Amino acid sequence: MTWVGRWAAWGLGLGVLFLTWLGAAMVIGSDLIVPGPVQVFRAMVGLGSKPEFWIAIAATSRRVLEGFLLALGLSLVLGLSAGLSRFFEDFLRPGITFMQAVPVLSVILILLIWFGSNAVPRITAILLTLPVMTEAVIAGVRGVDQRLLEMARAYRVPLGRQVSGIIVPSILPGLFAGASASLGLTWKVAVAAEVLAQPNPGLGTAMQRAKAILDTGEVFAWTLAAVALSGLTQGIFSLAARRWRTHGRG
Amino acid sequence: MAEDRSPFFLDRVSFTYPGAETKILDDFSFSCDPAGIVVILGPSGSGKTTLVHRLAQGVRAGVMYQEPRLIPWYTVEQNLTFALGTQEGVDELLAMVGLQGTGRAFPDQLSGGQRQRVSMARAFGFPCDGLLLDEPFQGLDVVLRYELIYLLLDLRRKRPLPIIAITHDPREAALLGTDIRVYTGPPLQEVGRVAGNPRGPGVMDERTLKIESSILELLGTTSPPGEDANRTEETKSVAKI
Repeated sequence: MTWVGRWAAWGLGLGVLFLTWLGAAMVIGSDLIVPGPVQVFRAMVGLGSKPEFWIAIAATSRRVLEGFLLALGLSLVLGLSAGLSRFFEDFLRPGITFMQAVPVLSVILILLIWFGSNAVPRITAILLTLPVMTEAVIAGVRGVDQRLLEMARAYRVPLGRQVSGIIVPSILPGLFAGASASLGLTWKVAVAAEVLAQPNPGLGTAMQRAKAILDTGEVFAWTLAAVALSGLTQGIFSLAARRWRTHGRG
Repeated sequence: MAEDRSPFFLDRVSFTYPGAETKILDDFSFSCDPAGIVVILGPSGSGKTTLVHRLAQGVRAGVMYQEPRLIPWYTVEQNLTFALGTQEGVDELLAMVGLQGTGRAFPDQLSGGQRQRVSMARAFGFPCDGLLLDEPFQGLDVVLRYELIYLLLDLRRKRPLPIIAITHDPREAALLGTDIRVYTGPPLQEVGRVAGNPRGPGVMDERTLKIESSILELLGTTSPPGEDANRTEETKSVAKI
């Protein structure tokens, strides 16, 4: 398909989404249950003119990015170690399985008992995305071309340079895919944790407060803000990843 | 005296793969002249590869594999720097194998022959005690194959390293080797040796063809009867004469 055709399909999908929303708002006819686009747009303009909106967004973005970067770094260390040592992989396996099965809200509630409200969104995001990214790194290490490693050993290349020159570049494509998906997950989990933990300031905190006074338009506006931010950060991440790869491969 | 000894030797080694019944090496010894190029021939599964792996143990050897084994996300230059640990002399090495100016190219931008030239530059640039060639010319077409063999002999005149080479091609063995050994197995056993021409004769040179037919005779005795029967009969009748 051509470049133009693909953008047209993308625009069509967005249009259908928008029309569905508009139709639902018109059929239900209650701003309290499904506020229409106009009302949400008005709520958004109202929010955007207040500095609190931007402060809340900045605080949540910071939590998300910090959590994500920490999870990314940790998954590299854990995944590389597990990929190189069967013992360490078996050792990690129960933890990974446990984290993949445990309900998100249990994690949030338990962390809320243990830690202050400010730390909960970050730690939740790390704990929930870590298994996915670690699995991606382990799979990447297992998929490394063994013949290249045999060559490196024959030429007495030190282990550190084997890791940085052969293993890490081999796992990056898989890690980028896993990390991109995890970044979206980080946003969802962090906002959910904010709704329950009420750190101040925070996007989820503000959303919960809007819900408490039944301002559905504002809840929708905050939701759209979260979606936009998630899309934006994922886009920037994919661009950076692609740039790095084309740069790395000339 | 120690300097006259090839780094490639085995002294009464036995070897069986873990869990396997068949002995690959049974009280096996190997020694050779360090000034020579030893070429090893024999049927698949006879234990040649095991022999070469064992010979390589503890020896600092530059290796050329069947595939060039270049890192695809590194340029030619970076590939050499990665394996040799230094950027020094990389340009000279590339010029030696006739690849001047390709340092910035990526492996997938080179032809198969050029990639094996990079692999050869890497082996000769490695500060080592000897070279191991694990059928590095196998995948190339005939003309390219002989070109690379002559290049290798040329480089070896400048840096006279002991070389152990595995091949399936008797003509290649005749062109390359000074000490051609035919094996059968397992367990690995030497069938016989043919002295090669150390000067590196022409492809259709009478001596090359003579060496080649001697190798074929020896190889004929290693094939089990029934397998490729015509050829075996033919080479056996040559052996009787």
